[in-house]
Amino acid sequence: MEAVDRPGLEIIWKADALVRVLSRDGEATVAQLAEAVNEPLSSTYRLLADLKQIGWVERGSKRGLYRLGLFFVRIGGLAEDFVDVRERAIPHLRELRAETGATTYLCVRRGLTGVCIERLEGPGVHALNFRVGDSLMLNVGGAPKALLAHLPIEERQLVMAGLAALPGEPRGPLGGALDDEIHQIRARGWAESDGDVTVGIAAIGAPVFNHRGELEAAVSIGGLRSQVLDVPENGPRVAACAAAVSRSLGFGGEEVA
Amino acid sequence: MSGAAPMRVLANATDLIELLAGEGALPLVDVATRIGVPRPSIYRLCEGLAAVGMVELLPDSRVRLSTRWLALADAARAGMSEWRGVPEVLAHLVERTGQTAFLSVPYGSSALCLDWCQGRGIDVLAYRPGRTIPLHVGAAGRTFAAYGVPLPEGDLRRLTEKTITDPDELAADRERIRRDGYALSEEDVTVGIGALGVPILAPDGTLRGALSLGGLVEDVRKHCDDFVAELRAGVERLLVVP
Repeated sequence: MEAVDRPGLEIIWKADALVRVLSRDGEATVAQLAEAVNEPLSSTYRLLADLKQIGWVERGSKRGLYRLGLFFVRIGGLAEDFVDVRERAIPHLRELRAETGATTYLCVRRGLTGVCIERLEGPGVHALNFRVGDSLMLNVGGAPKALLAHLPIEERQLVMAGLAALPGEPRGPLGGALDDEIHQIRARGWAESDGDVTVGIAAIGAPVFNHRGELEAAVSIGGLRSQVLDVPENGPRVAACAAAVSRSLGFGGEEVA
Repeated sequence: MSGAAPMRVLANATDLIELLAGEGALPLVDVATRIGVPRPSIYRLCEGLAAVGMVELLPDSRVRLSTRWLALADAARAGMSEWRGVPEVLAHLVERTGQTAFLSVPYGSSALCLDWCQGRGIDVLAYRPGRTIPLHVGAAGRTFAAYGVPLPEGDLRRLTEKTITDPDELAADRERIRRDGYALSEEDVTVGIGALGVPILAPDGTLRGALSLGGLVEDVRKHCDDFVAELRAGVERLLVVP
């Protein structure tokens, strides 16, 4: 991080340095903080006093320890309201469409299904289904299977039991076959779908996580098999796009700026 | 801002962050007016905060908080080691009751939700991590008022028809909560929603926080005694965490 070379603003840089140490270490003494930010003890005391006054730091669990204040909990909670996965994903979906020439999708989980919440049409052939608002069972398609494979284990088991209990002829794999595929998806980093929704149409999907590491959505591409699955770069491209959307949601923590 | 006192800069930064947290992305021009700081100073402050990754300057001359705040909130929570056992206790409460469970701490003259575990039913609760509620409403707010956090001076806002704003009625409410050891909130924050709260008291009686459960008001009323027992068991478990 470069120092802010504006007169009067060094204080922001110094405050941020303290915040970084405390967010990494949880609690610290003045001496530890002074050393970490390379400032004399006396000015670190002064800075801590100022930060305490505005609620950025508070006294820690023991005498002489400082930690981040409730201010951060409050601001972070409020900030979460303005982080909209759709809005954050669109520029990345656009890039993915340009790279692959395929239609790109953003999909969230609802119950046993994945629902399409954004779709950017590629120039080539695209399936007519999975428009915005459409849903697919979680054991078919690229994005839905990517969602299923990355659900927490208990939820995944509930969903799999729910899918198995559905009436009628199953469309996607169930039981052991589905377990195997989930394994494969997790190991590879993306899910592949080959004509299981629409004959001749293939898809690749990868998961998006929020700042807590919770599954938030999945991105995918869809189109003709030759355009999607026969291009070996597409899997890593979709995975990289999903990772970029995750980062834009704060996944990966401090590295995000 | 050249030569501005460091404390002034920090206070302006805090005002700016509060404003953006409340309203999302805003045009730089509006920010200057809203905070009451000259435009050039606000521009420099935003550049400074952007350089350390606290805000983002958007191409359309707007500014917004960076997603780093989400991680900072998580880090601040993790640093509060006295609440280490909270996620398990909240999850256990949800498992036992199906309601949404909350941990709150006093924050000035309001209650701040520090953590929650969402219940199995509805999702219309206005209270969640990072949110505050005034001390004259809600299970956590009224629990804090009953156990010694002073209400602010002046008029109290009425959130629904059930919100108590009369000082005498509020005093009687505090009395009742202390006598029973729990607060019952019935639609005084959101119509249709109820909650139950109990205080978390240190061995010396100091108020440390509140555990509460929220859900549909009918459920909360119907299972009041059971839910209070669950909340008290939850407090016991929290207090034995070393």
